[in-house]
Amino acid sequence: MNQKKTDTSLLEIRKVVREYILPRQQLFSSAKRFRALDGVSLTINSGESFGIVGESGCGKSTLARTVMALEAPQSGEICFQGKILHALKAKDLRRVRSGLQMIFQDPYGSLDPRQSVGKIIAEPLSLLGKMTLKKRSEMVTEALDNVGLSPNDSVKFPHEFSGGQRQRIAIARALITRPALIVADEPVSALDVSVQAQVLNLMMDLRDRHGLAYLFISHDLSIVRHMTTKVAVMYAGRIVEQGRTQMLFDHAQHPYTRALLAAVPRTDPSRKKSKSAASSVPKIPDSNFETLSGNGCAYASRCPLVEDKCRNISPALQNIQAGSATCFENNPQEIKHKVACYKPYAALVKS
Amino acid sequence: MNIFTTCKKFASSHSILNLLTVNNLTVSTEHQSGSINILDNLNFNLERGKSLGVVGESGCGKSMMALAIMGLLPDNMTASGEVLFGSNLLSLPEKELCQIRGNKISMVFQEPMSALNPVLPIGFQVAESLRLHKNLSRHQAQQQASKVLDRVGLPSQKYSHSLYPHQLSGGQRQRVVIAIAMACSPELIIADEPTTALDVTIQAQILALIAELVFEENMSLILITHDLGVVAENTDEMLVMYAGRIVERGPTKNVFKNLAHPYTRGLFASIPDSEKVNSEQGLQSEYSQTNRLSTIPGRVPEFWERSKGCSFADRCPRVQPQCSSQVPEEIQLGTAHSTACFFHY
Repeated sequence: MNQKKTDTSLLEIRKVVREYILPRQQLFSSAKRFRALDGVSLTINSGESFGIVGESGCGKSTLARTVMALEAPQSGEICFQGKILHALKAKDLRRVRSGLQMIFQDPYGSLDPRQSVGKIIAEPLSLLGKMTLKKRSEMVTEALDNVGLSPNDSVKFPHEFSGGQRQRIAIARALITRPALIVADEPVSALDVSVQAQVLNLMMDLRDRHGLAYLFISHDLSIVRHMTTKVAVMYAGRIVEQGRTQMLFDHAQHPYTRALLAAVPRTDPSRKKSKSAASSVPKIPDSNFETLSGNGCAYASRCPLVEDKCRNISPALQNIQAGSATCFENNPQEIKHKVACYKPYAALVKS
Repeated sequence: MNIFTTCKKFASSHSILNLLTVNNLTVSTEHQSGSINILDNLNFNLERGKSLGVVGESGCGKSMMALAIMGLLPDNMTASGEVLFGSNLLSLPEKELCQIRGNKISMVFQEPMSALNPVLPIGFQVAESLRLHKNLSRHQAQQQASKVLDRVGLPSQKYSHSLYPHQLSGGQRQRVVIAIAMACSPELIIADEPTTALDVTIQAQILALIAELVFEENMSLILITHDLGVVAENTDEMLVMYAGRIVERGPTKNVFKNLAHPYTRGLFASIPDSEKVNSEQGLQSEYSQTNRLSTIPGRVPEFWERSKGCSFADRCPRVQPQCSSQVPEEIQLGTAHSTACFFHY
């Protein structure tokens, strides 16, 4: 295990901005820019699972790609094990990459159909430099064993496996370099409910066994709640609320977080909406991130509590004082429950 | 007297209240090892104005059921049994089916981008079914289409009806698909995973929209989904399907109060949801451990791998020798709640 047991955090993201240039509307008009990440900061300690939730288009996947150093941020920095990723030379970056692996969403698209499973899993080993064939196959066997597949499976091809098994192969591939951090971008959303649970359990077991840290990206709030210890809610490229998972889900502050939580269908028939009362559904207009202006809270156009202030000055992430101070332990590694809103729920309750 | 008895007889098989009655619906296909049943003897009724949830994982045949009802099965599959919707849909010629599809029964599909035609404006696509079924002129159909689009939350002041699907977001596209399904005021809507491709907030809006429209127009709804939460919140009755058979059915409330089939229980237990309603029901025993999600071991069998007896037998925590040789009959558990399991909870 090349993971260092240090006090410093494993991954530190500081005010990362990532912009994309949109196609020109007209020949001579200036190209518009789309901010996929707008000053995102977060810290992941080793052995910790950090969840990112948000709707599609909010920048979750861009964050994952930026953390993986597949894209460089325009400003801000990403610090992994004390090294700033995008400042590294290609050769050094390759070395760092072995500590940083990714599991993709679609287990059908992320495995090369023409390579055997053994070959797929062994591919990241090239990051570790030269090694003997024997050592290589030993490591493949170990990785397969780790995810609950048999060593004989290494000669098979991806099409011979079910979706859940394919995702296990993808996890084995991520595990083989003994990474310290795995970025999992919607790892189970393509799987059936009963298989989903198997893969999630496996991920939790591996976390406990190998001290892995996860950056766990999902739109499924109940899965994030189950899998992670800390969570950040993203909206339009910004973090609007973050905190310990339990805390954040039980005492959601931002109106967006509250709307998200209210929208999750529960397995409780008594919540069946009275026929004509669709009004119980929070009326959030469809998201339209592209038309955002630079100023003001991005959520203002959908927010039920919007004020003039919200449209002009974007609220910063701030600690919540009211009532929740007792829940923080005096631990510097612990993150505080923060929200970027002028009218968090706690303030509303007070007044 | 004579009339009364015949009426009664008729009522028992196809009640006047029932909009749709499915009797012994079996869909089979040829496979290397011979003819295989993809759907096996499905029976259910749907009353006018009620909503029916169909739950199951991929490969359990829930979409096949929808296609069989609509008469849209692929060529290599044959359906037998009865689908009574006025007359038996399975024996109707294609020409008459065309009169019913999109007019009396319509469908909302999962993936709005592939359900819509990318090169036609949305107003035209909604008007298309009106012109086809209601014999409206182009102009009348356009006007009617605008009304329908207003209804589903795409008012013409804000969303021009000459927009193309790619100019809309996922939720807006799904609204267009619903508008197309609604246009002719059908009696039955079959929604096949209508919100799977959407975000949770949009999902809630779309489901509320469907519920509202169904209520106001007194339509019936078949809601196909893999999400137990969606079924719990949006349906009156539910069917749980596994490997081509119905394993549990009943009024949604009753089923959730007492999950009887081991598969339903397993499915319920494997959702990470800290606010589960009946966690005290002894789900701990066979399924859940601390902080781990409970799982159903194995996976859904492909249709050619299904065993002779109960197809859930090799994943079931309560399996007995009897299960792998005999297909369990449905057992009544209470008012309208039944399950197909020898050793149900």
